[in-house]
Amino acid sequence: MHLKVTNLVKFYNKKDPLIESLNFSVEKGEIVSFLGESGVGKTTFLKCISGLENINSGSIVLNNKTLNDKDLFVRPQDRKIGFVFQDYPLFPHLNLRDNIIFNLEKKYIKNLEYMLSLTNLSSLVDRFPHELSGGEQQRACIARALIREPDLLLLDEPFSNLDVAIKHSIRDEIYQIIKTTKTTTILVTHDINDSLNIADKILVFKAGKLQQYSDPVEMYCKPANCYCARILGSINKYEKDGEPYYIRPEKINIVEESDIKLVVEKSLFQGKEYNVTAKYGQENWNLFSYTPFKKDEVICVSFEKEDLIYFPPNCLNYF
Amino acid sequence: MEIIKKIVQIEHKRWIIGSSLIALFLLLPIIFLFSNIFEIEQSSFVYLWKNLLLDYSFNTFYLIAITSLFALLFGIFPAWYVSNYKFKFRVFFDIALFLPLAIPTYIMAFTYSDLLSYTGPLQSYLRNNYPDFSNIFNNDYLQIEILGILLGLALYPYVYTASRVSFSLIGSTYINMSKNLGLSSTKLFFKVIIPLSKPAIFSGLFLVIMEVLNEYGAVKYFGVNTYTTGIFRAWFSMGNENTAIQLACLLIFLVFIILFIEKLSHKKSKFYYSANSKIEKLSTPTSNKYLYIYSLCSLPFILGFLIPFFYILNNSILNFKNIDFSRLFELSLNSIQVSTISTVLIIIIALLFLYVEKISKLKLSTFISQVTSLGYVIPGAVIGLGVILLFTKIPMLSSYSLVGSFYVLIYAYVFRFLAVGKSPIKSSLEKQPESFDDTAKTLGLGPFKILQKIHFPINRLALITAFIVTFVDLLKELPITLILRPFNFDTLATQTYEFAIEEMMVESSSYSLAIILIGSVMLVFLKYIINKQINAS
Amino acid sequence: MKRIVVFISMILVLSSCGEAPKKSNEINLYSQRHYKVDEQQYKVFEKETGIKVNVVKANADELIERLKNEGENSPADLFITVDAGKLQKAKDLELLQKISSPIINQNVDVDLKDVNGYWIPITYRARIVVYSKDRVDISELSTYDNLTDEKWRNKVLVRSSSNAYNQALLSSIIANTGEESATKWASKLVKNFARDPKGNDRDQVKAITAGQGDLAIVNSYYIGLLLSSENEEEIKAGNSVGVFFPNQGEDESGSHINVSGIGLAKNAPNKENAIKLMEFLTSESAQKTYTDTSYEYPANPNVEPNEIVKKWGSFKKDILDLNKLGVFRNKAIEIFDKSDWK
Repeated sequence: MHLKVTNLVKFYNKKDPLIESLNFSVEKGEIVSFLGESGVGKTTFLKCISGLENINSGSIVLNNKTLNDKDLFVRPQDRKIGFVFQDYPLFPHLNLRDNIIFNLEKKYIKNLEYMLSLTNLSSLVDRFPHELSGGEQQRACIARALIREPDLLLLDEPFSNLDVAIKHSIRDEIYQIIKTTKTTTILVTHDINDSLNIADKILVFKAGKLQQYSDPVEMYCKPANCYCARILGSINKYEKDGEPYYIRPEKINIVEESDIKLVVEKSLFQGKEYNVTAKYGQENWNLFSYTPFKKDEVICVSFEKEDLIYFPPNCLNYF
Repeated sequence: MEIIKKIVQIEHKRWIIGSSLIALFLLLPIIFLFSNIFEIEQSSFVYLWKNLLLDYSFNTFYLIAITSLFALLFGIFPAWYVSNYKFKFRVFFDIALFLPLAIPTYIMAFTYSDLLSYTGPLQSYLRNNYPDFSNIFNNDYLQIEILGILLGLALYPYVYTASRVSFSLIGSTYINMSKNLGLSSTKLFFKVIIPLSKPAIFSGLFLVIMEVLNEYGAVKYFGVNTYTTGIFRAWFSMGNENTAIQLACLLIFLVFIILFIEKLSHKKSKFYYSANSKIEKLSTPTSNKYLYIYSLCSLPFILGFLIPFFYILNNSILNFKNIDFSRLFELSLNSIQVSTISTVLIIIIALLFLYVEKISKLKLSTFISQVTSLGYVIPGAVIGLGVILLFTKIPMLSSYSLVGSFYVLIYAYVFRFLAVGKSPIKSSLEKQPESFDDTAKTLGLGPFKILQKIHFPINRLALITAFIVTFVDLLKELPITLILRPFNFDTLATQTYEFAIEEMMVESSSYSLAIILIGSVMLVFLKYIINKQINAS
Repeated sequence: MKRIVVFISMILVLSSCGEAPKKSNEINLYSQRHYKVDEQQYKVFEKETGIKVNVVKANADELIERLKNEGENSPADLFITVDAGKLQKAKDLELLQKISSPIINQNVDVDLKDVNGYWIPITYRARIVVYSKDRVDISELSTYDNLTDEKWRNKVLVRSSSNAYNQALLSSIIANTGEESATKWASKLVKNFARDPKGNDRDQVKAITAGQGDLAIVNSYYIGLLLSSENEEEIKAGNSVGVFFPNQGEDESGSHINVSGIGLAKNAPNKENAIKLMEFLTSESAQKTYTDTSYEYPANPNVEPNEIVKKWGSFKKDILDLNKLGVFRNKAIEIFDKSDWK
């Protein structure tokens, strides 16, 4: 266990804790995506790990060194943790090179050339931050963090500010950079696609607690509760024998004849296929089809029993 | 137990304690002043109320009203046109309209009263050439209304600057949108632009009001009895310390109220600059508008700077053979020396307070920071009084005979002008995202190094601005210097005042000229670098 | 860090420029007078004796406050004012010590000295009435009291009551005629004002020329200054008014005068040098310089006043104990407030 977080509690006001006893660990070289909605405490969480915020109780151990427990608090300056903030804060009065080697210990200067080529910034070293594009600024911040060989890298919403068109390629680039340097990384995001594409493990966080922590496939196929299920994709509610079951849209097949009948509301063209919204009884369902259907048309569907997911009834109410 | 735990957990203890101590030290004179008020017997209160208070209050408010009116008139309209229209010499006007700040208020007052007086150039010329016409101008110009206009002329640059910033930021988005909705230019101005700019304009006006309350030389000469002249009169002419203290406390109270109003308006207005406020293209005026614009922009500049400047220059040249150059040089050196030292100190302390405010999460730090800004709103006379009382009434301090030393003078200066130095630095620091500090921490920098390697270089422009603005203000300072200056120590300001009050206008001119020249050069330089920054961003 | 150390040392070095001078061959003056002629006199003295003269200029009350607060440690040697009342105030607060110098005693008019010997005069002047030559006949004028006559309604010009010259005048009236009578005088005079008091003495004269009033109460030397001004217009103004010395009748007190004087500070560190300076300033050559430059009357009876001043003729001085100008000062201020003389 490279990073071990035990019983982390963080609150600003005791009655309404932001983080209620968080337990998890990360292996060396893993990329963990911390997934949650806006305002749930993701940035605070990162700040606690990095020491920019103090925790109320619990402990944090990184690379066998205790960073924080009830007796000890290691200042952020002394933790070997790199942090890239959402606004890619490069210092405006320094050029790219000076930003990257800012306050760098002598022993790491040898990493500069490698970092520059890895992040593809070699030709831009003399530019100033306002002369760089968003993507370049971001890579510069990452270079600045990684050049110091941190034990842990923290990324706060790294892809939120990017245009959709370039998001994919940037995601890939960052993935490459991190994996090449074998840096243990926690990235915080609200966008599920980021998590699915590059994370080794996903940690879903909601209502102050860890909801599920597993790899993407398991997360998607075996969600721990309805919230986890919903967050990774839409689910449709199917009642059988009075019990609520759920099925993913892509697992639904449209057939000529079956017992399960849906009344179509809309067919939205998505390029590759149509996203059809329909009503199954009182429930709203989502499914995919290669051909559109008209409003109020009735269609028949079927699916495999194994694809059904079960959650206890009060799950939806809770969330 | 919880509280103790919390105290122990407070970060940056040393910084907070240090800054609190400095703040307390700076506030001592005012605290002392207030504490004295409880020792005063009733009869003084009664005397004050019966005889003086009504007169002082009425005059003070009336003067504020007139000055404000003219400061607004001279400041807002040119600012609008310079911000939104393109015309030749626009950049020149932008700098020129700023220049009256180089002329101290008392010099403005003395100069014009001399200019317009019976034996002055205007009336003399008319009497000799147009005798029938000249009688119209034969008036007693030493009226409170005229003083208000003159103060408005000297102080409008505060309103001008504030409006300028606001109008530029509000940007053409609103203009275009309003035109789309069918509003005429005038309606647009009064119904959209002014309401949106109210907070900025009011903060400029706030400075004007504070300066009026502080004013001593001009009001005394014009025979206008305000709180400040009342303090001087009670304390020095009548030896009645108690009345002086009461007036001083009353004045502070009044100032607090105004300060409070200003803070309120500031709170309500966090919304007004939209994120997309880009300074779009400037409109081109129609040909009739040109005349209008040029006259509107020239008038404050001519009246507020050119006329006084050339009048004083003329006097200096006429008096050339009598100018005591060694004394002029000596006093210039004095002024520059004491202003520089004080300004440097102010910048350092301001940066310290602002930084502590930033890094500590305690509300206390914000409170301390704001409270030390009080010095600016408290009139110099009151500060002088407080300082003298402090250093003579407290046995421990009085034994050092500090009154009359350089240190005490600088101490009073620092307290008075701390807010001036803070303001530009504060706006600049506020623009910096918190992630700068956080990043610096993760990169291994402690708080002091962060100040040194990040905040200092990034805010360089603001620091220069703070330096220049504070320096010019200090150059002009009069009441504190009059009260606290050491042996053999005169500044350009005190010398100008002393000659002028004896109506030796010609002799005072070379000293006034020195102040104006030094001030103008610095202000032009300042405007130049500000404009460079606006264009760069 | 280094930069801060540099700054602090710079501050310390530069601040040592303003240190109070130590006891070497010097004199320290706390002076209200700051005319060019004073500087000239001091320079001459320095040249002749090698003693350096340091001057702190402020108004008399501020200086007195400072003397009071500095106490025993005060570096002041001499206290110079333009108002006997302030000298009396200093004397009363025990800030002065007795001056014993036969030379000085010989140099000054005995009527003008402090009866107890705590201060000496260097010049004096009268507070006179000037009148518009065009509109007023000199025969219409007689006393200060006469100015309150109805015929002068809206015709009298005088500066603010906050000015020491007026306060001294009223103090002398209180001393000579009593509080009640002085109060009546002030109240009635205010009714005759042509305008609210503003500006200084010379402004009052200019206002007469401008036709804003017919009479003004001013210090005598201002007329001299106007008549010798570089400004044509000021000379014209000076010439347009006549000089009148009030209260010259047999039973009357004589025109109010006031002195510029010097007191010897109680804890004067350079006492001998101080006395030397006083002897110098009351000597004939220095006295001549005073009257020729500032148009005041010399305190030294052997010295003739300046030509311009001589033209106004001699006059009967009000020779009350000038200390009374201080004794009744606060009363005078109160009466001013009550009578609404702004």
